[in-house]
Amino acid sequence: MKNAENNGFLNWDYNPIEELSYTNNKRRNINLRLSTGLKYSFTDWLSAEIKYQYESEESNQRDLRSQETYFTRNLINRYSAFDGTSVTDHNIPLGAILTFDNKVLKSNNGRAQLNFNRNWTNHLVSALAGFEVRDIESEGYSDRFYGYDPDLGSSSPVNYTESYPLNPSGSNFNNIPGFLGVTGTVDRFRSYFANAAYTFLNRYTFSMSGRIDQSNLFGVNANQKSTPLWSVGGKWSMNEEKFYHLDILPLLRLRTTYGYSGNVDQNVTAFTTATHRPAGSSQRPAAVITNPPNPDLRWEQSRMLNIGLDFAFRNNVLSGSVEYYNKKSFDLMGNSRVDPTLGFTSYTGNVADMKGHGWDVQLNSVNVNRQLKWFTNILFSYTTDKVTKYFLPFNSNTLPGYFSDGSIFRASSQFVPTVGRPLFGIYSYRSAGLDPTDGAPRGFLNNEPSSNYAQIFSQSTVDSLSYHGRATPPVFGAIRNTVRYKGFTLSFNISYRFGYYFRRSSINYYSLFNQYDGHGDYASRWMQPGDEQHTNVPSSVYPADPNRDTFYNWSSVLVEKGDNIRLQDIQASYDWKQVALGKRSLQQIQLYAYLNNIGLLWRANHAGIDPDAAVMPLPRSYAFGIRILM
Amino acid sequence: MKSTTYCFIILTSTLLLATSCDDNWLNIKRDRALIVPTTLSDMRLLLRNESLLALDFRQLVALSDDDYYVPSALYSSASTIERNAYVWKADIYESQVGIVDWDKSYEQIAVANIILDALPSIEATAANLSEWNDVKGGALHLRARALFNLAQAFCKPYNPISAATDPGVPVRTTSNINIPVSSRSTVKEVYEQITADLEEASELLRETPDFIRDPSGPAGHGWAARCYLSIGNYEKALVHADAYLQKHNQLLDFNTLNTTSNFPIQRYNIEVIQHTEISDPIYSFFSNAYHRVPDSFREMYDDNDLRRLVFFRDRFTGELGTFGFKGQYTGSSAPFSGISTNEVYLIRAECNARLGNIAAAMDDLNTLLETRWLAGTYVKLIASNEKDALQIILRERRKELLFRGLRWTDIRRLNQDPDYATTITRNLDSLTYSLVPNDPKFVLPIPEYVIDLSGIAQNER
Repeated sequence: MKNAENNGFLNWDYNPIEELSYTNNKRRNINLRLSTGLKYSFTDWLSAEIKYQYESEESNQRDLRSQETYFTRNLINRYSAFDGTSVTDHNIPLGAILTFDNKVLKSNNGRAQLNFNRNWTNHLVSALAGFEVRDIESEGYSDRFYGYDPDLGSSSPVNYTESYPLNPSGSNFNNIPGFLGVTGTVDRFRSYFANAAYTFLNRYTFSMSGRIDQSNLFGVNANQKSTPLWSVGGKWSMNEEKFYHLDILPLLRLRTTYGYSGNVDQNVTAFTTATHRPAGSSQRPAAVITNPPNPDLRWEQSRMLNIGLDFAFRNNVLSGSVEYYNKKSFDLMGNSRVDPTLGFTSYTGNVADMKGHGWDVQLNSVNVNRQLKWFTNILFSYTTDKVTKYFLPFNSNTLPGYFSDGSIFRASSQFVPTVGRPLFGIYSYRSAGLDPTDGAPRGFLNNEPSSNYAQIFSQSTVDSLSYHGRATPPVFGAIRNTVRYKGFTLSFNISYRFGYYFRRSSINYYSLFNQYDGHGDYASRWMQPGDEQHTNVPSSVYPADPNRDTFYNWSSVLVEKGDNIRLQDIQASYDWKQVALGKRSLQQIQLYAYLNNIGLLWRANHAGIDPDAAVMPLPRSYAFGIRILM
Repeated sequence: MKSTTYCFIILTSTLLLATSCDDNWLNIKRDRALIVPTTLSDMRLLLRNESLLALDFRQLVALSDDDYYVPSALYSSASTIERNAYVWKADIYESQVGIVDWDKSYEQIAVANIILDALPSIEATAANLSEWNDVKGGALHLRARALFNLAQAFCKPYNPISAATDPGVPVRTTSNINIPVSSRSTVKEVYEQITADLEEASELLRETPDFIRDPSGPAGHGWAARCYLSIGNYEKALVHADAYLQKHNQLLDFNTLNTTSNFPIQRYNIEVIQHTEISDPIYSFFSNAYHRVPDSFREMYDDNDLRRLVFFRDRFTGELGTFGFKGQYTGSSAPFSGISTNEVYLIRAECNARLGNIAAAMDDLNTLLETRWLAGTYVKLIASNEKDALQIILRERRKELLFRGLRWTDIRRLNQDPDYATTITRNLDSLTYSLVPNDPKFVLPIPEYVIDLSGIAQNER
């Protein structure tokens, strides 16, 4: 590289400080939004309204990289014609490189709706129906000029169709990067919706709603462009009944809904689709298959039942709601590994059935209500899910083959769910501790400690793995306490998550030696016999064995309980109302301070790791401000 | 009055919105670059996907063959698969996924099947017949090529006695991914599919390709000759080699090459009829820094044989007497795997020798070698009998076709005949590894994840 200049190349050094002064980037954004609406009441119980919004966004980027920049020098050098002793020609002309990148986005949004609200003595009917259309179009184009002279505005053409040997190796060929192109997308959505509710005697309510969503989903039959959604529900206000005499509980209401929804994944189609892309070295138009043909594709469907109870004690001393839901989903779409002999390594389509249920409880209490006020809000959720059926023909005996991509460990977007277990679970290889002689991590092979990792991988079945539990918390919620005294308000929010597991990171010697990816666990690694008594971190070996690292990183010693209690935020504020300011007065002045992500109050794991931010701690944020209402 | 006006405005605007919503409104394409390939020109676009189609995924067999060796010191720093393939370990992949030799070859087959499944619904007319045939030929050619590459790694060598029962690789002729692969076809079925596809393709394809990475009629004949030779069908191999050489017989005169250049042979040179490469990912053993060619191998070339200089580079690294290969037809370190005229000359020579046409065989060989020698120094080789001719031709084949991923196929084929069987060996530090003729390790293991996902039977190693 240092001799490059003697051979006719441009200087090939990179100096990050000097780079700053050589580039000249400009970016311009223009946004425009227009909206209008109209409402008309035909009678006091029938009205119509329409709304319309237009939005446009334009961005122009101009990127001038002078010949002094490393980017330009490097590109010119790489494509220079070099006969082994000197540069004979510049396939990319000397001079600056100017790149334009422009995008225009336009959206139209219209909505028309008819409202019906009528009250008779004992009957109340409210209904609405309407439709909504949305059209979002974007267009982008980009262009690049080589050998650009900013003073003259001149540039030189290059040959994009030829592929040139790249310096310094001379053994790879590539075309001059063109950066030319026009892109365009159009998204269109249309929805029809209607819902109606009928209330009798102010006590019994029956409601129905339905909706059809349509879009210009690509590569599907017309009937798949629409997805339906409907629900029916009922509500019983018990406190309105004549027999109801609980004065201490003035609000008591029972409600339920049952709903159905269908869904299609915007990225999945039944037909073969392909994307235009210029072919490698000849630069002719070409197309790459993006979606294999899947004529059996179906809608994703789910059915959900909700039952809820709302209540409030006198003076709202204690109020809240308890809600139960039960959800069954069928033909869920997912991304899953598929036999590559079919020609594709992954498959997106209907893969599984699932069911789940859960509880949501919300309680609000007024603990002290004098000049000093103290309120408490409690949120509690319990949710659980289970895969009931998996369509693809892979059973537990065939799982180990794709451990190494981490599927089951949620390390990739593809995973193989296990029937009878939650969709996301934490599994690991059972650890047999470190080998006392050399500090190698050991697993079990035929129930004997072993460090034959390849065999462990290929012989493990899902049943031989440790299943720790859910990867997402089934129990979570928050408790907020608020204290108010005159204009001063202080509140703090404590959140909690229980009942789940996570995998912590540790040293990976292969990454360490090949990508300089270190980890603090290196310091506590096994170094001499006896160390295995107090550490789980394997010894360092060179060259690293990727299987040894993989085994250790997926072994049970790195799985921890995720349970934690967190002080989420603290808010403090002071309000002055009706502040006189000369002749006028301000409605309100508020001084406030807000602290977010304050820290963990308790965690189940002893490794000192925040399970929700296992790699990097969540940043604590502070905000202070003043708010004035005229 | 006022309310009527409002009413009017609302109704008309509602109507306006509604009329914009006819069915075509939703039929617009989301992304301009997306297509549902249905037309003949769409199929042509699919065939031009060079990043997949212009490659031959024969990496594992190229790593396994004896065209090269790697010094012990460099061996340990290579990737797991390279190290394991190099010494013919029973388990090569150690649970790694994404083995391109399998996955990408079947991806090529899927592209071919998508085209072949779509073609019947595209009407062939007088106007598009030539294009229609060329597209169909291109898809058949692609499917055959991918299947051939798979067979070299994962099927037993072709043995006419047992081919009907020997397990081959699955032959896919449908693009529907809902039809699973349930079992392996037999070796016989695999080669029947390859040869049937190539026979048809070489008739359908145009004589001259649009671009040198595209297949053409002669490229179809070249592949057919290569394939028939590999299964010992010398009559058919001869027919196709002949058909090829009738169209293309020009050879590169090595006297015109710059022997000191890093890669003296230009890619797309006059011998190349279809340019494909073995790469992606590029294994380090293919790079100049890793592989060596034994001095004894280079000594097989006469001092006047220009290939001594064109094919081999001195290592100026203190390793006296060791050489690297630089005669790739790719103009780079990527191994060439396409069809070139020199290979077809050698196929025709060998077929003629085996079929008793010694004069014709030696003519072809001499025509080829004359271009390889320093002008005016070449003395024509003469064979006294069939066996002699065959021995000379096989030796010259060995010397001409290096680093093409063909050697493995040749060893497997020649091992069927005790006269030409070879044992290949590797030396690492003090260890010596040998692969004796017809060792089961001449058939590579199918990647474990493929076995898991498909349930097909594994090869015994």
